[in-house]
Amino acid sequence: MKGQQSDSEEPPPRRGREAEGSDQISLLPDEVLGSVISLLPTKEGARTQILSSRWRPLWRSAPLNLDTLHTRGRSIPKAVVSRILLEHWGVACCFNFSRSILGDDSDTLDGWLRSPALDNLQELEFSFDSLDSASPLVPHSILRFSSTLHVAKFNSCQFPEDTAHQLHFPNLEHLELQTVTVGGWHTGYLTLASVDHRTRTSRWRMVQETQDRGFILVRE
Amino acid sequence: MEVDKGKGEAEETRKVAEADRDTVTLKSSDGKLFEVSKEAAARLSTVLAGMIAGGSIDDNGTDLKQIGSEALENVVDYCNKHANSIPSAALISSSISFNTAPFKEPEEWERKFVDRLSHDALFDLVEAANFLGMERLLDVTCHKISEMMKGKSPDQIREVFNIKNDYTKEELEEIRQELAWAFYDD
Repeated sequence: MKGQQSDSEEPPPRRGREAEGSDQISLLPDEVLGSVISLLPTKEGARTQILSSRWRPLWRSAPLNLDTLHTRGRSIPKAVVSRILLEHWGVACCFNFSRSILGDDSDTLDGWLRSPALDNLQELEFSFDSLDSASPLVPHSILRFSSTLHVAKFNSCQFPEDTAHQLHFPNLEHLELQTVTVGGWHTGYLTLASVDHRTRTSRWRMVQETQDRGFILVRE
Repeated sequence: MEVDKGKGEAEETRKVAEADRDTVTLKSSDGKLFEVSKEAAARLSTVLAGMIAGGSIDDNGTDLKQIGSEALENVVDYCNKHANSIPSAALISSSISFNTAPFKEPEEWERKFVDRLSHDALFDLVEAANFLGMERLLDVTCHKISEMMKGKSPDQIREVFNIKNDYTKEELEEIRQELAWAFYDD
């Protein structure tokens, strides 16, 4: 008989202890487990579905943390990103992606940004290859996140000229811009990382700056 | 609701006295009493804030029948520690708009606070925080649980949390295929 285990066993849990400990985590409410899941890296969050049938529906309704930039191992394929955005019904907390999964498919990008799964998105990161000659145009659909974004990072992309005066992010706490152009004008390297939390109540507006033909963030 | 008619006036006086105090007394499911800073309780728990504002705080110990004494002690400990530590700007801003603000990393003392808890105590605390509408404490405890899951395989996670795999072989295979992208880690 192998089942007998002494009480004085050392802390690391071992196979076969299920009978002794109870599964408290699965008793937590869906919203709480959703918060836990959204704090995991994207792949690990999705994998929680395989734990047990209790966990199967949770990932889809958990706050969406779709981070395709900092994944371990193979990147998340474009078709999978589209499917996740289609099937998710939780609130959106984080979405980031790079050109390596998107290619030059700006229609797909626009479709992603318009998906209801991203309503109220709080964190967005565009990262394209800065060595590419033509940096991709950011779709106008990005403007729908202006009031909800807390963190925005843009790398090697261009904003259409007519968005220049509409870029207004009242809740932004953290903004990073690198090799970003607006209306075809180069901004050079402009990184405004870690906007101080104390300035959070102030409003920041992106305005064009004539000197280096770029644009900067100013507090109103 | 039973009302003791003769005690109407005493009740009034008691309520006034209660309003003047800067602590509130909470009673666990097993009848133990705990004092907590009224300011911290109101700031950290939407449920306690509502009870304080609505005057439904009992001087002899407000009954919290859903919370055991160990969990309530941790809740009170957390509130009092919070009251004593100078809240950082991050915490102030997150308490202003906790519904929309993104998750903020736990502070060092919050990390230590949850790290010392046993498995059982941690889950009891999560449930208490959830019941009392303590958004920040819930964030901190959820963060701790996610740290316990991070980097582990599904099998390892099941072991740590005693989760029983109730899938059939066929179901497991189906999910594994659907989530093939999530299993490519190396």
